[in-house]
Amino acid sequence: MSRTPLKRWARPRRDDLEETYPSGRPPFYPFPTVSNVVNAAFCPVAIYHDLLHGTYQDATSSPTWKMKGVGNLFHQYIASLKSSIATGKQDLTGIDRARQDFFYSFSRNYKPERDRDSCWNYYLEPWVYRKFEELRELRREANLLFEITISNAYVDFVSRGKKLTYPLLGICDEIDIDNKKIIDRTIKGKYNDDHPPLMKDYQLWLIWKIINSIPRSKLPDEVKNIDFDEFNLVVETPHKDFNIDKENSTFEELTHEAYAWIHDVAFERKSGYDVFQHKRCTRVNKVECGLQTYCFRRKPTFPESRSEMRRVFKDIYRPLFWDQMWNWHLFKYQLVMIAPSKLESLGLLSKGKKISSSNAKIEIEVPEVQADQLQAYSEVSLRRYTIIPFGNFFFGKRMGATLVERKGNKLVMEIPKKEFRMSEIILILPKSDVTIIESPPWYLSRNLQRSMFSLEFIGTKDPDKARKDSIVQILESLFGPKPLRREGGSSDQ
Amino acid sequence: MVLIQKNHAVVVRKLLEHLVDDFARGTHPLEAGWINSNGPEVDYLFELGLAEKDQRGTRFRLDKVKDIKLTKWDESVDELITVCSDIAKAVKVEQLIAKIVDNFSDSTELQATIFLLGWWRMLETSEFPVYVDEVLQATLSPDKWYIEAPKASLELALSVTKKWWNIDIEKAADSLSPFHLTIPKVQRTDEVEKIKIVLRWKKATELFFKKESEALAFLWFGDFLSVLEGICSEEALAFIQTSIWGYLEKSTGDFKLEIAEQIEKMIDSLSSQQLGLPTISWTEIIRLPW
Repeated sequence: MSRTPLKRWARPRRDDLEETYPSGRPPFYPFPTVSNVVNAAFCPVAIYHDLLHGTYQDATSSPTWKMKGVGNLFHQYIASLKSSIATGKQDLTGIDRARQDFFYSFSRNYKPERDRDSCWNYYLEPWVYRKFEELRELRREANLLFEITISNAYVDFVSRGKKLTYPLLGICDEIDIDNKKIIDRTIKGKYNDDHPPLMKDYQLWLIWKIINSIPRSKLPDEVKNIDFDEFNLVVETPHKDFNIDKENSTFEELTHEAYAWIHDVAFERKSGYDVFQHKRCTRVNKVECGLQTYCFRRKPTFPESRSEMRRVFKDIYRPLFWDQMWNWHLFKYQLVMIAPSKLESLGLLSKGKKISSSNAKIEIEVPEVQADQLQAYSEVSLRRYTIIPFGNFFFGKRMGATLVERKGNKLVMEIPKKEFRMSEIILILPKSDVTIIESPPWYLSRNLQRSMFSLEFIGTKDPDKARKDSIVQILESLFGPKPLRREGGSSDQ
Repeated sequence: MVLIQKNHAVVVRKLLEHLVDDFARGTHPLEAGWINSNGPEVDYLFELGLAEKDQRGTRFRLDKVKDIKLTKWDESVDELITVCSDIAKAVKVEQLIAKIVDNFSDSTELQATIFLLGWWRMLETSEFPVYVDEVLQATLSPDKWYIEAPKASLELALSVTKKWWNIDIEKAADSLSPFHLTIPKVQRTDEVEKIKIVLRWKKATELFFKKESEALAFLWFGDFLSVLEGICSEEALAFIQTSIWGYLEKSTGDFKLEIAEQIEKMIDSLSSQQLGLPTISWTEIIRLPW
């Protein structure tokens, strides 16, 4: 893969951040996530699918849909187990206790049960065995942070002695402040591996780059005096830990190329075939990749107008991505480029004071005028918000919350039943990035991309079936020469 | 149709895999797929005229892929057949383009016709995104705009073609007949003049430069042929576009990036003519395929 690095990354200007009416091609470049950059660095076709076809998976994920969600369970269980030990709610006396008393109670709602058992047997058990002594020695009040969202519009990367900055957002699996470790976990990897699973080292390195790029003045008070440059980077698989070198010129170069691909896919029509010329693997010699099913799906013979349909859709995918840029990427820029007071005045943020928290509920006091606004927004958001109970937009824990009650200017919100650190000041975002239910339309345009891309593969190879298939026939009418008319039934209909 | 028995499916798969893999790695389809493979199964395919042999080894004949059918359904072989059929179609398109290019020097009419077809294709596939106030001012309704504007594509393309060639549409059609191509029968509209006013077409036509417009036309002509052949696989489509860029580089003496940049500049100059709020989204009308 070779791509000339861009001279600079265009960010939104002040008026774009605050008042521009979204229209057409955005005047700023995307605000990618770590997954986007890893995909782009892995294979240009992966980022093409990611940005334009709204694919769910990334290149580093398992190429199968089986056991979907097991990785998430693996992460959540470890975070929960370690938090419970650190807060003294759990004593780890043996492996059986970790499994019976804790895992099965923690994952009781996880379906299907077979996958839950597999998660324990294949991934968690070897991890718990390996980490048992470390877990037992985990001291009370250990300084652990889980699933921290980190974001900065200016992350430094060096290219041939020259510094370039890009925006980047990621989620860090764990920061062990006492032991000075930044950890990225994965269910991938085998007993006898000599290297971390593909691209996982790069993923963690990117996360460290974001953390290290955040100015101290922007970090939450709790971590303001910590020098993250001294932290070790560790990729944890169920079977092994890998220490990752922070000085890595290959990763630096890879990043510039990745951003160049992201730019080109986002804006350049000609990138459409460039990416396929630079693809990492072929249909016959496939590499391990979570997007295999998207690259090498079969296209049945019918509808015969498929190539025209594909061309029409190609013109729509990119504007749909621009829609996401206006709605979602711009919001990511706003959160880290506009002062919090201005965000409040723009209605993008409410700042509340924690009154109490217990039993998966939190009571927050907000200014009266904001309480009215938040309640008004609850009509369209199904009462769902994103809150930041710890930290800020640069470095903080983001989670979904549901408004359950309003008492004057006090809001009672339901939050996930998890152990996590909480600050006295809680940030509430009316816009949200957590699930489809609470999302503004950017997520819908991503769904639309995905649905259209699926439609490109619909059909049959059997001409008789095709003639009777209403979807194939309507596609032939919409994109081919077949006249659109009602068929079948009696002649007098 | 040649029926392939189950016991021959393995060797067919092996040969087709090699063909597809070579192609995906950048080998020209007519040079791809050679492998050292012997045995009665290969001989059988050779006897059927499906494989060919020379000092480079054996390979499946690309032109025969469309003629085979398995007696027992095998998903992986069927998938390879689909991909190879697309590659074969792409080769056909490439050869047709080469033949047309060879005839360019003898026929300015042919040059004009390809230009016309390419521009028609580019315009017809655009949604003609314009500011709605402009449409209303031209006494058209927004819904009518989206129905009528694409129907004006041929007339619009013709007006650009006439900037450099004295083209007669009937004779133009004749110049295509040696290549078994025709100018598609398209729906026309009575609203052409109004559509030209909304697009400020006269002024826009002045800003179209010949070299860039020809490049656009040629690339879109490739897109037109790809769709005509029903090519769907990204690899095969990329191959056609790469071939066309190759011709463009050869004919202009410029690199692909330079040509693309010049086209972008031309589009930018169209956009920059608009003062204040842009009323026509030129980047979505005058554009590269893909």
